[in-house]
Amino acid sequence: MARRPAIFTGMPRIPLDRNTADRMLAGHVDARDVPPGYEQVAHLLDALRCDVPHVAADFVTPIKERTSMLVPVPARLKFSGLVLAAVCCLATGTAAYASGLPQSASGTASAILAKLGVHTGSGTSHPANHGSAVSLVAHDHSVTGRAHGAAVAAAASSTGQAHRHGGGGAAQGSSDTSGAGSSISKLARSTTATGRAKGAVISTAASDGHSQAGQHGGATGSAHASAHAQDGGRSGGSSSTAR
Amino acid sequence: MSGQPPASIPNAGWLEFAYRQIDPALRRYLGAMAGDRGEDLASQVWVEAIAARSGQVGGVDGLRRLVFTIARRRLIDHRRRWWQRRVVLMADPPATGDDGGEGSPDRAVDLVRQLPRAQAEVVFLRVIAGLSAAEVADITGRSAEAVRVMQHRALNTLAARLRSEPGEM
Repeated sequence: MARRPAIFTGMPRIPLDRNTADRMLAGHVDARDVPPGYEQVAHLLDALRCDVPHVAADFVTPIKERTSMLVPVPARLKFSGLVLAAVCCLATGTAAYASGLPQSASGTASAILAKLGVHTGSGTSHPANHGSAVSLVAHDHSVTGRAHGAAVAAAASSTGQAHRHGGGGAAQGSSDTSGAGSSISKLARSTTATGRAKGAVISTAASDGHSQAGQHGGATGSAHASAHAQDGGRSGGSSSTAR
Repeated sequence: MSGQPPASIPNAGWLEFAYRQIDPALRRYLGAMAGDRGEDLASQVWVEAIAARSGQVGGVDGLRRLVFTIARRRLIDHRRRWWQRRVVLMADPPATGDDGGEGSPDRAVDLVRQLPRAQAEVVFLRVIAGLSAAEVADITGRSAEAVRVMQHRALNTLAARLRSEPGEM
């Protein structure tokens, strides 16, 4: 007798693996989902299990459902992150803007930012700091004598002119009567002294008398020679007078 | 199978809660393995379990493991005594129409009892007691893999018998 094809005998039997057997015994597999040929075994196990009591509903501790795969972030942390980002943006933006502000506003902003540990620069390029720039040149002792005076005069006149033609900030700087730079600049342009004497005058004024550039030493050059000539003339005159 | 009882249950009520959870499965297991002696054995098991466990450490699941461990030992003792006394068991009474129906628990117990004893014990402990393979291995003193092999063979044997006897379940 020929064997009947599988379509008449039902689905071919699939061997049961151990994991499926374990899950069937644990009651995790529905009778409709078991491998073909094991449906009656599943019903038998269900019949064995039917008298086993289940936990009463009022004794069951409710299981908290997970609503999202992502870990929820507390609102307090979100708010703190926003505040931190805002402070960072404000600090960096203010630092970038403060360097271009007028002296008073820049100083206020720099003071605030300095408390936050953000340095906005020295601000020496501002017109109101012209006097400080000239003073720096006057305090520079690498150049002596006539050349020193010329350098101080050039610094005083050039930076002053640049700031005068530099726009509103420069106009404000020139109108600031209390600024030392404008007075030094005026002195540099108005003094009748020339050469080493002019440098000494400007340097002394710029440094409030601390600088002694052009007043001592500088035994070289024509100014030194003329000074010697004057001294010699006096001494010669006196000597001649004495004689 | 069941978790810890909630904290609102007092200690006096906890034992009742555990008893109601475990005792039906214990009686069914002992009845399937020892027949009519199952009720007596269940009483002995509970007395020993309560004496051995005054607290509730481990919850219901811990007490379930203890109870079925004791039950299995009492079953072994029961078989030894039966062997020493040479008691010839009477045949089971003829099944009535209510007990032998399709898919009835008693008929399922009878089918499982026809398996080799070790396999039947594993199936009862897994299904009726609700223990895992590792817990059954712990109770029976076998490895978990041996228990899985035995339960796999038991299910294959049951499937073969049910195929050869259509309409059993």
